[in-house]
Amino acid sequence: MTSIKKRSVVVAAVATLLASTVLVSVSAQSANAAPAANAAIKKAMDTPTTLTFWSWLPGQQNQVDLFTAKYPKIKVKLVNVGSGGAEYSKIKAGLAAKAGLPDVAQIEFQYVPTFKVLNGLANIAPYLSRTWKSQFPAWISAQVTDSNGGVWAVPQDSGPMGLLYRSDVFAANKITPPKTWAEFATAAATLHKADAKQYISNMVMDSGNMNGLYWQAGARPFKMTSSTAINIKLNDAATKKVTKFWGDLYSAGNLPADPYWTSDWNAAFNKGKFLSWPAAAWGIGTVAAAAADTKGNWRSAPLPTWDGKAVSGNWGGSTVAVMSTSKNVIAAAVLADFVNTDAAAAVSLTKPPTGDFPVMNTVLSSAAFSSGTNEFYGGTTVQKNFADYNATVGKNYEWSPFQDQVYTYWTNDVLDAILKKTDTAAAVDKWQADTVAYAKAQGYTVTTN
Amino acid sequence: MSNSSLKSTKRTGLFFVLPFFLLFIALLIFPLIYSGYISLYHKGLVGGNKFVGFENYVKMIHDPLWLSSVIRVALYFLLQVPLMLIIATFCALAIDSGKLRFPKFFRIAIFIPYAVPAVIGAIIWSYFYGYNYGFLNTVLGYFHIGKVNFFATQLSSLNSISALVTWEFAGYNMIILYAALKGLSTELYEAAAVDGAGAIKTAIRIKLPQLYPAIFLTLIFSIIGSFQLFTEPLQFQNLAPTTFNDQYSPNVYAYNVAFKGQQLNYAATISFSLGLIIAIVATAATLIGSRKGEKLI
Repeated sequence: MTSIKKRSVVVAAVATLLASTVLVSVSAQSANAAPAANAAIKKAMDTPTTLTFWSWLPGQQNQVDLFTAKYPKIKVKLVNVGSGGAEYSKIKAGLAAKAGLPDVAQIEFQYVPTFKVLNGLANIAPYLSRTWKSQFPAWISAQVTDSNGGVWAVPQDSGPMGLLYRSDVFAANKITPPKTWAEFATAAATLHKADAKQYISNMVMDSGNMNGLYWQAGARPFKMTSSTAINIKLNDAATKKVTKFWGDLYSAGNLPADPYWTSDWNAAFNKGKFLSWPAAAWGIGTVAAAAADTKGNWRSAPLPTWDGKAVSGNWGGSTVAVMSTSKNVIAAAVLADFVNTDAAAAVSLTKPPTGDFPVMNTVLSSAAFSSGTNEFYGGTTVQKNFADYNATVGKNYEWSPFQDQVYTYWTNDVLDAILKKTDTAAAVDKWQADTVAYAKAQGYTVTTN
Repeated sequence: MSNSSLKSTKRTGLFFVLPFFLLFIALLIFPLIYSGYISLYHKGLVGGNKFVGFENYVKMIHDPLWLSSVIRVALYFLLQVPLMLIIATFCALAIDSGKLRFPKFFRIAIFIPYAVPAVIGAIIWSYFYGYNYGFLNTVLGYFHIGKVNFFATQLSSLNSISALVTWEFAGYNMIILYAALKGLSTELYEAAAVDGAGAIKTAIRIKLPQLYPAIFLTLIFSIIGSFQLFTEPLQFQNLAPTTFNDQYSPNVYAYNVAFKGQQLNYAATISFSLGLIIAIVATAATLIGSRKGEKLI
């Protein structure tokens, strides 16, 4: 564990002495941690402490209950202050005011670098076992760690992408699940021609959803080359290709443009307006909740590919991070780790009411997870299907430390151009230019290779 | 009254205004000075905090997104405020005329939307405006009228917000005007009645001219309110993300610049300038609207 290097020699020496006396009864997840940390962890978990935990995950209380059963001295105040952006605004305000922050917070993968650069996250590496990283697929753990051995958040769930589709309508129109995006475009025309009220899918209006498709096509827009230097390449060929593809489908009239997450959007699934959705694993539950009338008629398939080679993208997924302002970093780190990696907690995350797509290797490969069937998807093992797509997610994806702003510019520049049916390549170039200008104004040295 | 008792009365008065005054300083004056202060600095994600003078203001004036937000709220003010004040004045005069049945019910019914929190109001109206299965389009469907996208363009989105805000604030302005009507001297009404003026003629010829200062007051409130447009576009953003963009109004822009863009200094610049713009517009309105020898505010 590299973190031990950072600790002063004196502390390490004293703690090693202490640790030799208390090592007898260390907790399971700290068994492999540095000896110095073990003593501190044991002490922290034996001290009456109240931790505040912000999360919008349904059913998160279940994992918290498992935690407090094991560590009765620690009280956890679980608060839902709003999901996603609503919570982030409060954290950003709290960081600016240096007050009012929780000890632990749910943060999506894509915003971990943002909060890291705002000095909002604590490095919890000293309190984790040596083998901690290997519990997750490498591309997952890479998103919460850095090259200096720092660990800034604990992975909670992920969103590998696949295609959810209406098998009954596809079959009635003699369409098999499209293997390539070219087939998808042909199917889009066929389905809309057969019935003007039906569309193969909706325009990809959500920045995160589109980002997952860029990811699949091979876009790797950001690379931090140092803590103050970033390479930005949003306008690569892959991104332009994907943007043009969706822009063309929309211009041809084969896609509607319904805003996401509205009652209209939910109803469109239920009423057979949308017949498929390039969705993330958590979309399994979203469609099931939205389209109750079409129960049994949905199936999943891998995302259509660009060149026949099976590659998927990822959309969403959360972590649990410890805030740098926490006065109880050790207890907070144990909580953040426990609710996601404790054997019982990790399994319960995949069950109702949460239904997360797991990030723990043990859960992903467990028989219980892969044999689970879903009546909404005609009794198929839809979870296992997504575990298969998960194995094909493109690796080495890096997020920018200002992802919100990147998405704002995407909506302003790219989505706006698609909906106005103007030049999508120029729009992607403008997206790049706006983002570069922003990064420079924020003090970064920017390269665009 | 002796000099000393006058002094003690003064002190007692001070004591009574103190709670308000402390809050006023803490929640209004201090933030105002503070945001003015931080608007003169620049702090990036990397690199330190540095004094930049009026650089943020220069950047703002050249920022097309900011300019679009100011133009949009100015247009919104012109669309929404006259309509709302005409409705409010008409309702106040109607209730005051004494010709209505159930005037108290009427008064409460118009006022109630003001008691609905803005966020809830926006959610209710989002069900009205839904494109595919919204209430208004469903009703239009019964008459075989094609679907209307209420948020298709910036202009139609402003109209849609105008309708919502009018629903929300007409009652509030109506109450102010109604209270002003109640304060008018009734002698003139009697004289008018003797001269044979009916209720409508009295309303137009006697009441309306005297109501002018009160209408002007509601106009100033409305200038402030419309330039500060915030809640409704933010709530509608997920219904039409490219129309209700992150720079829909100056306040929406400041919010996103602060919380999405992490540029607190620039957000302070936008907020501070918005206060200045409102002060200028309100002053201009007062100068234009003042009749000779009359002090409106």
